[in-house]
Amino acid sequence: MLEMQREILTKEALSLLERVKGRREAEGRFVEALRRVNELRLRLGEPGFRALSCLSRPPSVLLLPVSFQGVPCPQIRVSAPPDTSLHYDAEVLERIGELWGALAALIEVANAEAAIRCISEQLVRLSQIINSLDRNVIPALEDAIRRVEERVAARELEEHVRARRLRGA
Amino acid sequence: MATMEAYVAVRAHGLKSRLLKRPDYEALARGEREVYEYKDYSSIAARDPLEVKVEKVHRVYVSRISLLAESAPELSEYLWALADKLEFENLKLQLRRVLGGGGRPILYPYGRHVGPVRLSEATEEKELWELALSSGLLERVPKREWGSLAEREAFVDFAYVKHLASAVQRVPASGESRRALLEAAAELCSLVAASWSRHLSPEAVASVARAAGLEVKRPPRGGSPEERLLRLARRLELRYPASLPYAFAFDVYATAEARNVERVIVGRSLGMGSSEILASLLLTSP
Repeated sequence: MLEMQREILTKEALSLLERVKGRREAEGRFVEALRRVNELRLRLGEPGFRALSCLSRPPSVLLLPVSFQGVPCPQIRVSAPPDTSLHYDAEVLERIGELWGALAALIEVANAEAAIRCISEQLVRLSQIINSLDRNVIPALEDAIRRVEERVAARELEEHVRARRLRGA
Repeated sequence: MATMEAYVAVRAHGLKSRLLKRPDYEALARGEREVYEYKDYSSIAARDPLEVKVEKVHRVYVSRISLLAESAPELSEYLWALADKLEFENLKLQLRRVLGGGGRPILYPYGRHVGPVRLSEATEEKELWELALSSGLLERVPKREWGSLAEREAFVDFAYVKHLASAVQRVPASGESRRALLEAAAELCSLVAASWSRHLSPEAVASVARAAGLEVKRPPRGGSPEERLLRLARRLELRYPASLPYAFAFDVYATAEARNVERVIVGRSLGMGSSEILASLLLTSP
């Protein structure tokens, strides 16, 4: 049963690894979005840029435990995207959109990485249990069974000999 | 009064000779020199937070205009009006903060009518307009039916142009200087209209300008409003090298320097490359 669970978790981790492969692209997208925001920041001037950022309400995110095949993992869930309704500049809105899109992709990758870490930790624990059972507990139990069987066999032989003696007497 | 105008122009020439040149910006952008190595910016310390550095950069601009205004009290009304653009900018910045309800903007360190500390204490839009009205910064407030922030910000920009044009009427400048400065104010009005026409319809821009007491001519074409303003300054500089319009040109250059130095400091703090920083600058000299 434990080995079956280990197999299921391994498959889950492998499927999550596909999502993590997008990390390089997500990071590149984020760096590019940030570069374009910085260009805008220079052009608008620091006071203007900071005042503009007052107009944006930040996104609302929650950290929730989510079960992956019974393994609880912390996952970021976006409950509300950033509110940009007060902005009027199309270029500013475009930059915010790019940055948020890139950040959302990074959140997806971070979620997958967190899930892989939790599953990996669970796999390590499972392997330790399975190894412990294979190398210590099961051999010890088998040894005990063997010793009990030997003892039983010895008793049977003893009783058989005693019975023969009595029959002979 | 022509003597006083010539005196202001001479002082402005002196101040202009101290403005940073392209090689200075290149050295700053590449990190070969630090901004505090320049005498005018020596108050900026390397350990200052970014906000403080930006504030100190604009203090240099304010001190330059103060020097001009204090050297010619008769013409100071106009010279202070040039610096008043920072107060109008502060009004827009605080408006964004009040409407957005978060963050802490950097306000320019200037307040002839209403200082940044008093402005930053306003927590409601109504309070902000009342403050601007009672301090004499604004003669009128935006119309109630304007729903968009863009219209209200555009109104503040046009109100500054009106404020500048009114100051021209009040100072005892020569007829020629007055005409040139009023033309400059009219062109400034067109530039403001051009920059707001990116966000508002032409009708809305014209309506906002009218509400501020201005009439918008057809917005100019070609080049960004900043570049067109520089071209206007160059024209005035060449035509009026020894009268009050030269002070207008100097103000444009000094404002451009403050923005450029701010861009270099911010760009370097963000780890941007020198070419990116240099591309963002508005260079007034070859």
